[in-house]
Amino acid sequence: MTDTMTVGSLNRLNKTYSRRSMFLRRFGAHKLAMTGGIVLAIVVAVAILGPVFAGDPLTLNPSQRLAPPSLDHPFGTDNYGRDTFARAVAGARVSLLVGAVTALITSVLGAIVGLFAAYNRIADTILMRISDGLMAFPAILLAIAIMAAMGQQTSNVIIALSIVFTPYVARIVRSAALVAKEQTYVEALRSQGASLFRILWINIFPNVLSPLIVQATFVFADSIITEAALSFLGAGVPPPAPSWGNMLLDGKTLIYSAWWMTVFPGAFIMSTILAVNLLGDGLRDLLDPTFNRRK
Amino acid sequence: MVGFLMRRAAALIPVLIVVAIVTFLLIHLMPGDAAAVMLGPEATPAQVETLRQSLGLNEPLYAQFFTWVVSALQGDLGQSFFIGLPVATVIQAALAPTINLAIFAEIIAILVGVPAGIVAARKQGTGTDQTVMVGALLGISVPSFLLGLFLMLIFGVLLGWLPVAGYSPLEDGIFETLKYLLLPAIALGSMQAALIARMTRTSMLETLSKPYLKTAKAKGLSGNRIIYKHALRNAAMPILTTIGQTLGTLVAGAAVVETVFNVPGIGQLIVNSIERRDIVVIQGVILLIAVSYVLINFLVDVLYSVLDPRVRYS
Amino acid sequence: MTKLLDVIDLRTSFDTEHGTVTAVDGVSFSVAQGEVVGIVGESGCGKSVTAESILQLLDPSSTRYSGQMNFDGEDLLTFGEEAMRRIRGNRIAMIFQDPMSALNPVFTIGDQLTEAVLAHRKIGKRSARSAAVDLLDKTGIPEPERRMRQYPHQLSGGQRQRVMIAMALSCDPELLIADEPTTALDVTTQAQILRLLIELKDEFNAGILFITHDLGVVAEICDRVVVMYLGEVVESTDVHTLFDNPAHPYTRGLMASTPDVGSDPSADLPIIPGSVPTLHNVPSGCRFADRCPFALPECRERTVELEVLSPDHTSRCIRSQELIGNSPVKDGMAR
Repeated sequence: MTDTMTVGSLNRLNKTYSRRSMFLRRFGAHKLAMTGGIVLAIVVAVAILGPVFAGDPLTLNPSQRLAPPSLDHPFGTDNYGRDTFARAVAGARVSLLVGAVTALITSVLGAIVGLFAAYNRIADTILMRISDGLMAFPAILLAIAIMAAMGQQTSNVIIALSIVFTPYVARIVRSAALVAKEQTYVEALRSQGASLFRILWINIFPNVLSPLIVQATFVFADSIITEAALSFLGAGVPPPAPSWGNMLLDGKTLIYSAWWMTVFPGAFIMSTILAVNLLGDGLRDLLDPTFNRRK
Repeated sequence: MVGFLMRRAAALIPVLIVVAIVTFLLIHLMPGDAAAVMLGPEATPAQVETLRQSLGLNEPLYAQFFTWVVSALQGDLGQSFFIGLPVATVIQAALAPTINLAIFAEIIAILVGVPAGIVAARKQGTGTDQTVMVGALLGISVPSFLLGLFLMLIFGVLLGWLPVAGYSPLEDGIFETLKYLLLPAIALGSMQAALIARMTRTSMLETLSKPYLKTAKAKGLSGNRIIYKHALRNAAMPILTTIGQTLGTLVAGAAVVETVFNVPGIGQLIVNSIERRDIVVIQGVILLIAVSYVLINFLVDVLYSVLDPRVRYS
Repeated sequence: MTKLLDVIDLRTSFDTEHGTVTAVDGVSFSVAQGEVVGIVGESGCGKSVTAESILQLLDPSSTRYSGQMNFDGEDLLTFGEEAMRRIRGNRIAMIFQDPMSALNPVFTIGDQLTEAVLAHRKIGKRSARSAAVDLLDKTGIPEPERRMRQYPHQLSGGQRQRVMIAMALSCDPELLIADEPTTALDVTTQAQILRLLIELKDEFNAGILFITHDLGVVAEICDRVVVMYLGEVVESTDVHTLFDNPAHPYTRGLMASTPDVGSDPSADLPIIPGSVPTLHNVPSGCRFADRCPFALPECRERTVELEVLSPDHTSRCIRSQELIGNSPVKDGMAR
């Protein structure tokens, strides 16, 4: 249907599509996506405002070791007497930061790789073979291997996750760009002598933006899960810095005596991921109904 | 049919080459001198030089790669410096619990996911459908290691019904093995179950509107026969793809869940190797898992052509 | 002739997101043994829904039926699901429009045919298989043994429709419902399939309910005709009366827009102006009035009932008496 469209009608389509008021109205009608958005906003607010109200996550308090939840320590304390609530809030900061930065990096890299692959046959063959190869490794395992090689550091976690998730984004961008490329107006621009750069970024990129945003949301969720798993395995954010993953690792060793060390960080992870997934599913319904999540 | 298989097999080669390159390059991702990093700060320069020699790090990069690939093809994945055994032997020793766990989890995932997806599709839009879909959303939102911890807390610590840690080999009786693996398998299988249920529902919904199901009904077949013979067989392709894709992630996920329940498998091997920075072992493990992932997907492709005659002849 | 199937005041409605929609609205007709009854109308007139209502093939969760469907003296609408299952494919069989999509692509022809035989007959697998080969042979497919092992996509359209017919005949049905069985086929194949249906009807002495939009096909094989428009029967009579003395403007419109053999192929055929309204906004009064060249103001004012013109001819038009036997058919239709 799109290949018979004229340039004008396509531009009109893009305009209506991105008209913010309409999008927001439809978004408001999507209850699940709204719920996800609100929960995520709360988690983000807690993470940002944490230092104001939550206390210090690293203060040791030997007299208060393994205290169950109370008014002073609503989530209890750990085996060093550190406040679990303060640590969970600080962990939110780490997890959200890792997730957001990874989503940003993979979006940029994925967009570049995907667009060039869609435009150039040779680049396509090479880039897609590489991404096939990278996608043959289960995400968590490749991340573990890279972390084991590079060493435990928060910045390395982001690098590892970016290497792991970029192929998934690139794939999505590539297929959306291929569809956009088939539309006749790209040929028209080409015949008018528009430069490659111009065609890719001015004319094709807006068409891949919707699937890119949706995929970025899922990368955000997957990065948070994977970071937690890495830290839980001792290959992620290095202690004593709090992260939900290494809090759970501490909690596991004391699971018989201090359930709160497992339950609270766990609840944080669960609600964050659930919120992001709801948001992502909703965005997909709104922006890009034909697209399927690649896993 | 043979031509089809040949073409499919040929398509694997570039993927396997990239897998090999990525795996090989891992050791060169280590900051500075890999041998020095592996040995830690207390090692003497002589020790470092010996390890460099044995790892072949003094050779040019292409020669290292060539040697590495040739030995890997012969089943030689190198020597673990810390354990003092060939990596292949070390992996082999840890393989059984992981594979048992992965298979058990996949069985649970299929037994839960497929019927749940079918029921949801048959009762589209009802409360049952919504319940299944919310369950599936929870399934993909709770990471397996976290679910494992929660299950451990409830069924191990609180109720005391099942062991929270350890493993019993199959030789000592399958029921003992299952007892130890039940919680890990549920934890591991839940996300796969959710993905399978979603895909089954989507695929079934698409199939249920097909005219040939009306034909089947007009023939006087019973509802169950229509669903489980005529519809499911047609809806099976995307479901199988999902199962194939999840099998690979399952083995990796098993490694994580094993750590939760202290199952002495590949996961423990990985975690111990991370601490020791025993990158040679990690290379061996991820090479093995990636290659089996590629082969599993190849088998799924082959299975397609058996299930759907149209694929075979096209 | 005894009535094999007697449909009285059948109403089929669907629950949709936008409220209830009545696709078949008070339809009555009957089929006798050995008789071919045609149901004619444009797409969307409810003819296929009528056909599928008889076997209750529509989605049970959203479909409601009312009225009576007496088959061999028993009302099918009072049957439970299991009793209906024993009727389907056994005493009443059905052939569908598109033989490509009506056969399951992943099972062999043999598998699907044998299954149809086994669904209602208590015989062994082997005899069911040989029964299936005989059925294929009877429909005139060459090399039936080889076809049994083939998949639907390996057969031509005509062969697939023969397979469908063989499947429908597998349990010697008393009534055969054919829903546009030749629409998806080319003209030559269409003629062969029609001939086959007639031969088989004579051999099995079954009644046939033939759903089509093609009056040419009706003229060829039907004994009696029911014309439907927007869920209602607008005219019903024997095939000769219908072509000689059509009483309803819609029937006339359909006839005028059917090409005759020998007519100038380059000439534009008259078409019925406008299009079939959707079931969500059924016009009040006569449902056809907005498209009818004979419409009077009063047509839109009250519901028009079926008028009995002769013992075997009814028409839902207040001007039936004027139109019958009057004015040549092609008059008054827009070109």
